[in-house]
Amino acid sequence: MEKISLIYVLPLLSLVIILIRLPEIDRWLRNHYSNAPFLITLILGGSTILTHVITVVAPLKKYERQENNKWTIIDNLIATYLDHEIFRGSPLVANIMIPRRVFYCTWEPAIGSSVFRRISARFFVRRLDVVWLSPGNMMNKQFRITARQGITGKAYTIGRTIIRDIPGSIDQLNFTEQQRATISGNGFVASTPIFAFDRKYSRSTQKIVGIVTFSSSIPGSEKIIESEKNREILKENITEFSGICSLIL
Amino acid sequence: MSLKKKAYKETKIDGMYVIDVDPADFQFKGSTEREMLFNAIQDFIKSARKLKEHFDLELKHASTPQGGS
Repeated sequence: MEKISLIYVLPLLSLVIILIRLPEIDRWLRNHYSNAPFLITLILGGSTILTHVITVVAPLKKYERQENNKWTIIDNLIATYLDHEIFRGSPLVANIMIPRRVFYCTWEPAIGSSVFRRISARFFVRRLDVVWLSPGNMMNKQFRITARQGITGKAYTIGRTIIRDIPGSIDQLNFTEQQRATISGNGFVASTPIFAFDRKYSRSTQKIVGIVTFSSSIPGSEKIIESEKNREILKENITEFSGICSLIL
Repeated sequence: MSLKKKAYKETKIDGMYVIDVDPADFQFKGSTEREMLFNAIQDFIKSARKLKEHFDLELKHASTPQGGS
């Protein structure tokens, strides 16, 4: 705030003094040069605008570009990943979700014996918002989850990697009928937490800032995760990806 | 980035395969953040290739006729 005062207040104050033409100052300036007030106004006004552009507008544009770039990096990366057709005939869909606490949310099924409990469970809910979805894929807009739902919610809550087939778990995911209707019920889901990156010490911290999910909804693709070797490699991949995300998020 | 080499260990809870993730296992290589990101991407691509090779091999075995008369 002090820096902003120095940048803007001093030139603007000088401008006001010149523009209101205080008799003594105006006379003193015109004694030096008849067009001095005009020239000084021009220089002060111009330098204030220039300072604003250099200190505020330019860095903001730079950060905006960087903000857009981070998704480009991820887009290219996952495109490379998918181009390799890792799961032949079972394309993988990747998404990144970040937790956001909201005041009121009705996405979870009403569970609880008392009315008070049912209502109170709807307040201060942690929602998982999709911030990125792998290119070429669509997500049903009706499919929205909280941190207490689905494999992704579970992975976020316990802070571990979870791999699970969908057909066998659909009844245990705490979904409403509406949410169930938006998913295919096939394939598998693998989710892992994204840990915050501590820039000061260049290492990951315990804080979870998001969740990465790889999924496949092709019927029969759930068989892929039946082998332990496949699960191990899948875990390694998704963990590597979450490491990249922790550097970007 | 590379992950600390550890024996793969999973726990099956209610049909879910749960695997521990320790943030200390993430080893970021490089002196700047940009370098770390670049290395992490390189490692990820390597790991993705490994996954592809593995599945290719598995699918090949599955499609090979297993003898018979």
